[in-house]
Amino acid sequence: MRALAPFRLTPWAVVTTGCAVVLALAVLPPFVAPPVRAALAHGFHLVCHQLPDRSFAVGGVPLALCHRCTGVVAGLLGGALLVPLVGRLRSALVRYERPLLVAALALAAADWLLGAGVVWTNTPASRFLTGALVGLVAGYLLTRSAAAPEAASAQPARVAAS
Amino acid sequence: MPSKLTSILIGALIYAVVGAIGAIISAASGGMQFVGGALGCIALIAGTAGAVWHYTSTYRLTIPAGQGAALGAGAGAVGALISWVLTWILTSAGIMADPVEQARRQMEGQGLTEEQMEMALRWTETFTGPLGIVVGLAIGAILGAIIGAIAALIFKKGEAGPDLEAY
Repeated sequence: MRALAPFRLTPWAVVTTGCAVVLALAVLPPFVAPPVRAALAHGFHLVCHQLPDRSFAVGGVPLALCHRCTGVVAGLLGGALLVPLVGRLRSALVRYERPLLVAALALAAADWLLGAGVVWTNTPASRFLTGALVGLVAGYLLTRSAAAPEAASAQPARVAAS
Repeated sequence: MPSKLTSILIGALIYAVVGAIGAIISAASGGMQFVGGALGCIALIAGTAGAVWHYTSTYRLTIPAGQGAALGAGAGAVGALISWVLTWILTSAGIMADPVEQARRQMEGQGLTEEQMEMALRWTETFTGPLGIVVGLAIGAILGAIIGAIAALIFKKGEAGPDLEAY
């Protein structure tokens, strides 16, 4: 019979939990009382415009982040969660991590810049998806960076035979 | 170990000044508020990643994620503090809108009762004071730490030690 070993605070667990907490804080405003909502909105206003017409809303109450920033934070969590699944792709990802980040940022910038002009009208979906792509790459890089000092011993999950 | 203070201060200043420019654009450009908002986001990334870049470039170092996170968190927190001072100056000078009035406009479309709106505005008022600085510092430090850790990986200088390449 196999059983889970006692929980060990791996870098992967820390990063994944941290990203999940930030995402939870960002989507919480519609579900909490106005004072807490005001606190969350204030906390994130330094990094996001929080315009209601550019933010997802539940029951008319917008989240604490705009479409694109919500995508970035959701992507961060997604990127961290995907790290244990990359397997053989890992060496290729390590080799191309900078170009991947630049490409994801360029796509988000293009969606933003063209949306500001007349060439392309960006949509909530395009804003969220291009943000999520940036977050996905950043989440992967964050996990890899956090795990690096632990070298080869860093594993996302530990299962031991009992 | 070389001092990180200069790098943190440079990063914090980039964050605060670019963020203030974004806030002024937001206040002045009406329908183009998202341009100013994007500058706020770029300010945080440029400031916190800039602190790591300055540190690794100046001392030709490859640093682990923890040090990158510490540099980013420092730049994010100090930058948030400087931002608060700049916002106070710009609001006092009438260049930026009063945050309570801004919050009132945003809440009008949310279907809140008069009582709920008054309560929310009281809290908004509270968050423009010392409590707001604490919340701003905390969020600036958390997001700065995330960006700083990523920047530590991106801005590697020279050969990394075996512990940084073995993942």
